[in-house]
Amino acid sequence: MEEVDRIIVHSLRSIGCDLEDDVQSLRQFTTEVIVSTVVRCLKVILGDIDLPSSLPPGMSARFRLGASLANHVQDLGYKGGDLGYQTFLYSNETEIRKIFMFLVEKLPKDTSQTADEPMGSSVLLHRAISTELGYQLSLAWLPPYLKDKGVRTRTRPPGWQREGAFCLHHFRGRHISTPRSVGSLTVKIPKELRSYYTNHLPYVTNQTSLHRDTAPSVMETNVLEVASHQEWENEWNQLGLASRLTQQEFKRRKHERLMKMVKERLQQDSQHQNGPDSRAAASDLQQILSNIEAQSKNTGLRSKGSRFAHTEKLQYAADEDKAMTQVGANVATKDTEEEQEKKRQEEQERLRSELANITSDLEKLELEVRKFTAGRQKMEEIIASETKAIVEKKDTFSVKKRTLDLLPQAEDNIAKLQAIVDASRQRLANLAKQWEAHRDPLLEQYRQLGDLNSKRESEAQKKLEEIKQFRERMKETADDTRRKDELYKQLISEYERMTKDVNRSAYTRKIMEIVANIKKQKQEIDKILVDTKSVQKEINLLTGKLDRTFAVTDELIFRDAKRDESVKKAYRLLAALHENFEQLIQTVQDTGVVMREIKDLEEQIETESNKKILSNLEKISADLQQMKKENSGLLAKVKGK
Amino acid sequence: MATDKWEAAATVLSKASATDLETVCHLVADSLCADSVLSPDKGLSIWSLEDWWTVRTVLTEVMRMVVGRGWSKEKVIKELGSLNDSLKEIIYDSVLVHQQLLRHKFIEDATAVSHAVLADFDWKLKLAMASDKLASLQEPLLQVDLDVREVSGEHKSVFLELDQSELTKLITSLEMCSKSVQQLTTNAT
Repeated sequence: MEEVDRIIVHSLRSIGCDLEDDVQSLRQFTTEVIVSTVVRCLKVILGDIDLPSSLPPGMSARFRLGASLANHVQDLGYKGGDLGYQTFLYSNETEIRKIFMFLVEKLPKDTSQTADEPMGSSVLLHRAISTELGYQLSLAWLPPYLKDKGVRTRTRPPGWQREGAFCLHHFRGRHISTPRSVGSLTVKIPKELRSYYTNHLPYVTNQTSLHRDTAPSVMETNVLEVASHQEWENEWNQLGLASRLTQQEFKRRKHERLMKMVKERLQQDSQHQNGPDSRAAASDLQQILSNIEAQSKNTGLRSKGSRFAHTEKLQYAADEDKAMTQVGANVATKDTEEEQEKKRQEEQERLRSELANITSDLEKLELEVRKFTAGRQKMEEIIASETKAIVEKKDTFSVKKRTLDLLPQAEDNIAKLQAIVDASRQRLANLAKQWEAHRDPLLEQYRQLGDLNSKRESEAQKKLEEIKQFRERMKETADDTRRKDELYKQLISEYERMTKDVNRSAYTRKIMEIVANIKKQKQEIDKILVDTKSVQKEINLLTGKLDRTFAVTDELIFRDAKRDESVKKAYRLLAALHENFEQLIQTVQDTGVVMREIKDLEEQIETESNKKILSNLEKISADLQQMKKENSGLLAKVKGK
Repeated sequence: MATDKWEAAATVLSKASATDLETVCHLVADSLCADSVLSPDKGLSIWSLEDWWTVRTVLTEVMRMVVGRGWSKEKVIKELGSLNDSLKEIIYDSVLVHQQLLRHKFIEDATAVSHAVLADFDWKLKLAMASDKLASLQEPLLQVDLDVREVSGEHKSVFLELDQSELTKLITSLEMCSKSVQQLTTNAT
């Protein structure tokens, strides 16, 4: 019961009931407190309702208030027994508890429901934005000169906001120069640079022309540095590592390559420009030609127009001869034009045929040239082969000459030659042996070195792979950390929201405990039920056994009783015994029933005694006395009038 | 021709003390790098306004030549004519200090040859909570302001408002651009 009371008290406090801090259970509630809290609950549930929140002094007013409270609660659907003014004015604990449980359940739950939803970051953000906007909307307008650079500070809730576009300006970064490589002692700074740093370099705050640009400039410079570093890292990861060069070498190579590329591009472009120039010239020529053509057409039109004008003139003048001559002249001019055209065409034809002749001649000449060059090549080849043959023949001639010289002393010479041949053969064998001796270790060494090299190569490859993997993992870990940080922040903010809901976890724990208790109790009850059932069964079994035994005995003795007088007596005794025992059982059962009734009654007595009837009775009699007094006072007043 | 002009400037330049000249050199170099207007306050105590202009143009010219054409110290000393040698050295040293930045600036000017060049940009992130049709929209929008320098030297602002998909499209295309730029750049000297 204490748990229930605490929950009720907590929820009553949360809807704004004015309860003392040390109030923990409903037993401590006085009539006034009960009335005021019930009124508060009804106001929260039903919205607008016209009830005084405190107990009025007049007895009849109290009575009316109690009755209307009872009506409202019943309207809400309360079904726990009869309800009247006495429930509130002369309360007893259990009934009040029931009513409060009902009312607390009926309380609107939107606040607690939203707290149950899982809160995403977007919901949090949305809510934060709407609260912030709500605050800002509720503030009164301030003229701009009361705000410091458009910033308005507020004390409740503490914070600040920008208002209006009055003091906004662009985020504009300028270049900022700072001393470089000053921190490390290894880098030598030139003398003039050092003197510049110490004497002339202005402070960062003085480098921008507008002071408000200082912060953007510094940020921009830092960002630029970070971005360029990242870019380089990226490039190095993707291309640099695979090329297996040092960073400087890689940069140098790229620089060379780029310079070469630029040079090639420029060369190509200049060639292109030469090409299009001629083409442009050709197009210019064409344009001129077409212009000429258009002009000639225009002149044709003009001549026709003039003829039309002339004929008009003729009509008015009606001078036939003149007309004839005019027409004739016109025709003549036309003829000359046609002739010119014809001449031109003829000339064109002639030129064309000439061109064809020349081109055919050119082709023929070209063919001849080709033939000549081919002949020349053939001749050169022949010359080369001939010179070769001459050299060969010279060689053979010298050999033959020497042999012929040797011929006179043939024997001696042969022996000498033999000796020379033998010596040279031996030397050759010797050399071959030596070569073999040198070759083997060298080959061995070569093989070893090759193995070593390949091994090293593969190792390097492996290490490269490893480095790449490590870099990737590094990046992944960094990403992971960032994500987890974000999650942590979000969860923290969520947690902060959650803690406003007072000891919710304690409640859940208690609920769990209660549920466990109930389960245990249920188990006990089940056990007892099983016990009872088994006892019942045993009783049934024994009764059946008794009945059967009695029937058998009865029959047996009855049969014998026909013959024997003493047995007849025994039979009578048996019947009496049976009857007696039956009575006994009946009595035991009756005792059980009575015991149960007694227990019921005791419980009833307890509940009745709980209802504080005596004190309530006293209160009622006191109230009655007061009512009587009031009545007599009223009567006196009436009579006095 | 050039030497004549610089002969005339030499007399003007010799009016300044060594430290003053050094300061002025750095100021001119800074203003050249940052593309900003140089106030003549520093020079007016030494030179008249006209002289100041001569000094400025001469120094700018020297910087262009040293950085752009790669003049050596001897060449500078020869070209500046009858000016005191210590002053010449000061000028040359001060140019050397700013060489990197000046070079960067000149390259940038030289490469900005297209019709319009992006000079600066700014961005602002907004969250549209609702629209006239929808009560709860919650769409993030990015406003990008591009400051474009036209060929005539005028600055034109271009404002874009992008939603998420448009922004990703823009970013991917810019990334491709940056990749190709990365292939074409190196910071080796």
